[in-house]
Order: sequence, then structure tokens, then C-alpha cells
Amino acid sequence: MSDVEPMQEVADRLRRLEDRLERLLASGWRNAWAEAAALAAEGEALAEAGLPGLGERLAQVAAATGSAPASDGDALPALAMALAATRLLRARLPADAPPPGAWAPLSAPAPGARKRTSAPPDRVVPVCRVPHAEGELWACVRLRGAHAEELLLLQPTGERRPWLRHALEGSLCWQARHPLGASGDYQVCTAVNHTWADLEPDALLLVPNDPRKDQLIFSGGGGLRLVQLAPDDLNVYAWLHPAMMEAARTALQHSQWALAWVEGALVAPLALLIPGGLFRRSKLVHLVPGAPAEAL
Amino acid sequence: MEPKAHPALADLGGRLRELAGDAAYTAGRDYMKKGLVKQGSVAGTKAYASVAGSTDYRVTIDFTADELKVVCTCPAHRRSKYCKHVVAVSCLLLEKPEQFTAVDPLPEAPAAPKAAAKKSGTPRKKAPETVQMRAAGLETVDRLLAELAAGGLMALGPDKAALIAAAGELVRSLKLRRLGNLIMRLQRAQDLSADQFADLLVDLWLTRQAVGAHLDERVALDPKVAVDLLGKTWRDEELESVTGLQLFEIAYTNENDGEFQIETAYLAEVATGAVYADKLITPMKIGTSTKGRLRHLMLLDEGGLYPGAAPRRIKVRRMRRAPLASEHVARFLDQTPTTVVELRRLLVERLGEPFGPPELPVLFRPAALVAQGDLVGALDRASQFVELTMPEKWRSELPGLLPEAGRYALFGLLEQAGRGLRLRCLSVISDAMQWGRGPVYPDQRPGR
Repeated sequence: MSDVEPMQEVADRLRRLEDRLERLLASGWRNAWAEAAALAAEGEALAEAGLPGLGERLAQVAAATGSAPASDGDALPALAMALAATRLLRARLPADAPPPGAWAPLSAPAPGARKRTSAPPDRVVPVCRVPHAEGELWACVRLRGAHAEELLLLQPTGERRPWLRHALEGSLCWQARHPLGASGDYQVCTAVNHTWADLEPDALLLVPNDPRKDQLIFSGGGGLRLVQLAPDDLNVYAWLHPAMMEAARTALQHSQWALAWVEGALVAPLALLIPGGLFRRSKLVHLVPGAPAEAL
Repeated sequence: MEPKAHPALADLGGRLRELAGDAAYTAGRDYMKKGLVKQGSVAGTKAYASVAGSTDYRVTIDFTADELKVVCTCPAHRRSKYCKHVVAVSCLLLEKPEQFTAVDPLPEAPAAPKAAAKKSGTPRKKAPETVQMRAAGLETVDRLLAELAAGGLMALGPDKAALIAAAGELVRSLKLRRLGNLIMRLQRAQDLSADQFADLLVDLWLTRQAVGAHLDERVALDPKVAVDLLGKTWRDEELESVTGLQLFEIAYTNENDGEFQIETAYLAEVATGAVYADKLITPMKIGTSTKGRLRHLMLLDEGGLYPGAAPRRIKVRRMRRAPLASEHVARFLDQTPTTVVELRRLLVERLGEPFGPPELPVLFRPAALVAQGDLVGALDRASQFVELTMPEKWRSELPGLLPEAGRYALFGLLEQAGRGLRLRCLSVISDAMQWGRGPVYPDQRPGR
């Protein structure tokens, strides 16, 4: 027999005593006199087992409840002190073996268990490239349905040019969260176990050749919008990185339209948009050094 | 009982529509007719009842003096004393007094001390009136205890609910906060199991003894328990100054105790693994507020720590926001307990302070999470076990999100279970979860 088992035995015995005292309190001491003799015997047994203090407390309970009906003044204090002592003593006993039974890792569904569903995969749409302290990252929006729920930056993944047309589906691993402006923020994540999917045709509202102020980019709304920047007042915007403002200053001669994350008073430009024409495709200008543009 | 015989109630029926206005009067009568007035009792010259609805409101009608005094816990009562709930209870009292149970009156609290007394020279010693009022409050508690101890759970019939509510409010109004809170919990008797009732009774008795001993000046109250026991309000200069901490939020709770809405953000210190509680306590009667949530690293430039048991309550006076990165979280995780022995030590320490907060928030970095049927538990490296309670959704989502053992910690409220320890999980913290919403599961939105 291991040392743990006798400890568990004592803990179980104390637990049974607690149950008994709780039951007495819940039923009212007017009914307690019938158990007085048994409590006195339990007190003696515990004293013999090396717990004289607790034995004494039980003897007091037995004495207070031993006449029918019990006296008003003594029963509750005796019961309260005995119960408190039992609990404190049990808390000190290191009886922490797992309850008997077949325990399995949480990930393994128990036989016969109800069907469980795992967390739905994340779905993010890359918008553009942005500079960052940790190197160049992708500015993305997390979609819930067709709603642009959150701005986040992703470590670049793969070689394709996915801007606004494709969604990355899979799990994200959180890396950091940065303040943005006075009250906003954005996260940096990495994608794991992901796949690419084409965005549904009706999810995207943006018509790059026909820009409109404050136009929502996704049909479900959200924070991603088309805004017209004020070239002389670039300091009023919240920039993810100081280099983005410099890149924007250079590129603004081509267009003042920007894809931006908007949350209340916060406007964080992410990339510029050069509208297309009859024989000219619209372009996305990444606000990284050199302000490279690529066709949308 | 014939309420109309009392002068204050004699002409109420004729004036009620005028006092309440047409809308409240009509709605109140409608409530009465639908039988929404519950738990009516009359104690001496005071009537108590609850009016059921999406929220239950408590009404007290005091017809002691010639002039009627009415109180309702609903928001509308602050604008108009004769709200629809007061109308409903008044109508029932006047028209069907037999539906009210006659019970023994509460002891009368002496009149409140004059405000001018506060301004006299050296006012730190309690005015005799205050002492008398508190003694009257304790007398109420003694009578309640005697009744509960004798009758047990059965003594908490529906007819007692309004009386218990009134006793709780009386005791709270005397700044005997812990006693008041415990009495208020008795109102939810129908939800109490035998062991919860026993817990409550023992706690009530022990608290009453401690408060009595303190008020009789037989023992000096430990400042650490003053806030919980007597509702002491700490002044800024009494707080321990603290600065230079790097903190991030690991959990958030929002509760109300019937009197206050208590929002708690648990803030973890990166360097030491210590946890602090940043609380916003708003009186229910002035409405609800939503505390801003911390989603970044907080650089604490100036703050204060309240006296009390861990986690210490913290007051943030001046702070800056900074990026929170997985390295911060990893550093914090390194400081968290990894053994059940350590959890047990913390529990024993807490039980040594019987009047500390009932909950013991702890962190635990387990070696494995295990399940058996509907039971979930965590094991340390020595295979010592702690039972976990968590929402069903967590059980299905966590296995797909968690990294290897050692890189996540559970945060929750520790208590003694039937066998061993139990952790009521509030959150999971990790630097490497496959969870693109931050280092804390579940989601911490909305942010600030």
C-alpha cells in the first residue's frame, strides 16, 4: 500500500464527517439530537486516530445537541466550529490522486460522448504589404461571413499575390498585439495549416475603377473602407509604421484614394488605390519603401 | 390584519392614481391582477413584497407614521416614487391583505446621526448613534441565525424572502458589507444545496462573531479584511504605492451582488507572475457601466495597492500602452505554479483568513489535461490531480488550440471539492495557442 492511500482514507473520512455536519445544519438542530451519540463516538474515534482537537469539537457538538430539543445558544457555534475545523484539516491533507476510472487525454473523445465541434477555422483576406519592426508583413482583415471584423498583420506565406481576391483559411497563431492610434490596436499572427480559397464574387464591393468616399470594401461591412486622404495633413492618420507615411507622401501624386482601416475616429491607411480607366487596370500601391504598385 | 385601519393607508386607494399617474397606475393594477406580486409579508407596520418580471423588484411600504414611505428597487422609482411596482403591491395590500403573511417585525434601527456630528473636531471615533445602529443590525442577524439554525433550509420558505431582503438591506446600509451580502444570498434559497446552505450559515455565524468582537472593541480588526467585512473605503494615501510594473489582462469577470456591479480585470505581472485585480464597482442604482478592457501591455507609471489578500486589488493612476508580444507571455508563464502541492499551499493559506474574499484566483501550468465522461481534470508531473470546471464549448475547442504542456496556464478560482481540489476555469493563457485572437482564451473583446 502506498503512503497516499491512508492519506486518502483520512481525507474521505473527513469528507463524510463534513457531509454529516452539513446535513445537520441544513435540517436544523432540532433534528440533531438523534445523532448526538454517533457524533460523540466519531469524536472519540478521531481523537484516538491522532486528531484530538477535532475530536474535542465533535464532543462539543454532541453535548450541545444531546438533549431534545437542543439549546438555542450552543448548537450553532459548536456545529460551525466543528465544520470549519474539519474543512481546514482536510485542506491540509495532500490527497490529490485522480479519482478512480479510465482517464484519457482531453483531446480524445470519450466513448459514447456527445458530438463535440472544434473551433471554426480563421478566414483572413490579405490586403497589401506593410513595413513592420519585424520585417515586411501582410496587412489582412479577418472575415466573419463577409464582414471585415478585425485588422491583423500576417507573416507572409507563399508566393502568390492574393490581395483582396483570395482568402486564407486555417489556424492562426498569435504573436503580438500593438496599440494603434489613441484607442485602436492590431495583432500580428502567423498562419498554420492553412489553405487558399477564392473569395465569393459577391463578398467584395470594391469597384476599383469607380472609387467612392467611405465606400465599404466588403459586402458585410466592417472596418475596411476606401477613404480620400488629405495630402497636407498626413499626421492625422494612424500609421502602422512611420515608413508608411513617407511612402504615402511619395505616392500621393498618383492617387489620394486609400484602403484604410476605420474604427470610430481612427483611420489607418494601409495602401493606396490608383483607379483604372478604359484601357488601364487599377493598381494597388503598397506603402513600403519604394511604394511599388501592382495591378489589382 | 386590516391595513386600511392604519391612518397612512386609509385614503391611499383614492389617491393612488393621482400619485402614480395614469400609466403607472394602470400597469401596476395589471401586474396585481396577473398575480405578479410575490412573497408578500407584513412585519408590524411595514409590508414587503417582490414583483416578478424579467427582473424581480422588491417593494417596501412603511405605514408607521401618518405619511406613507414607499421604496422600490426598480430604476423608475428614482424618478417617481409611485412606480407600477409600488402600485401593484399597494393595491394588493389594500384589496387582498390576506395574501400577505404576518411575520415578526425587524428591530427598529435608531435614527441616523446628524450630519453635523461629522464635522466636529476629532471625529474618528464612531458616534454612539452609529454604534447603536450597528448593534441593532447585529440583533437582526442574531434573530435570523437563530431561526435558520433551528429550522434549517426549511426555514427559508418563500414567505421569508422579502423579509430577508429587507434584513440584508438594513445590514448593508449599516456598512456591515459581508453580513449583508451573505444575507442577500439567502434569498436564493431555492437554488441552495444542503452544503451551500451549511457553508452560508457557518460563514454568517463566524462573520457575525468577528464583527461583534470588533464593534465591542474586544479585538482590533485586521486591516486586510476590513474592506470585505465592514465595507471600508480606502483613501488614496492609505494605498501602497507601486510603479514600473508590466501588466496584461488575463481574465475578466462581471458580477453583481444585488447592490453593486463589480467588474474585475485580472492583471498579470510579466516579471513575477503575480496577479492583481483591477475593479470597477458601480452601485446598481446608478445603472451599469462597462469597464474598458486591456488588450495590450500596460506600463504602470503610478498605481496603488489596496490592503488585502492576494490577488491584491490595484488602482491604476497613470499608465502607458505598449505592444504585448508572445515573449512577454512566455516570461510570465515561466513564473506560474506547476504543482498541485503549490495550489494546495495557496488554498490552506487562504483558509487561514476566514474573512478574505471567498474566491481564490490561481494560475496552474499543468502537465496534461484529462477527461473521463463529463469530468475534466488537470495533472501535474507527479500525476497529482485537480478537477476542472469549464464551459462545454471550451472542452470541444481547447484540444485543437492548445500547444504542448508547459506552454499554457489555466487561470481560475480554486476551491475544495468533494474529493481533492477544484479549479473553476476563467481563462487559458498561452504564448503559442493556435488562436489568432490574443494570448488569452476565450476572447477578450471589447478592448481599450
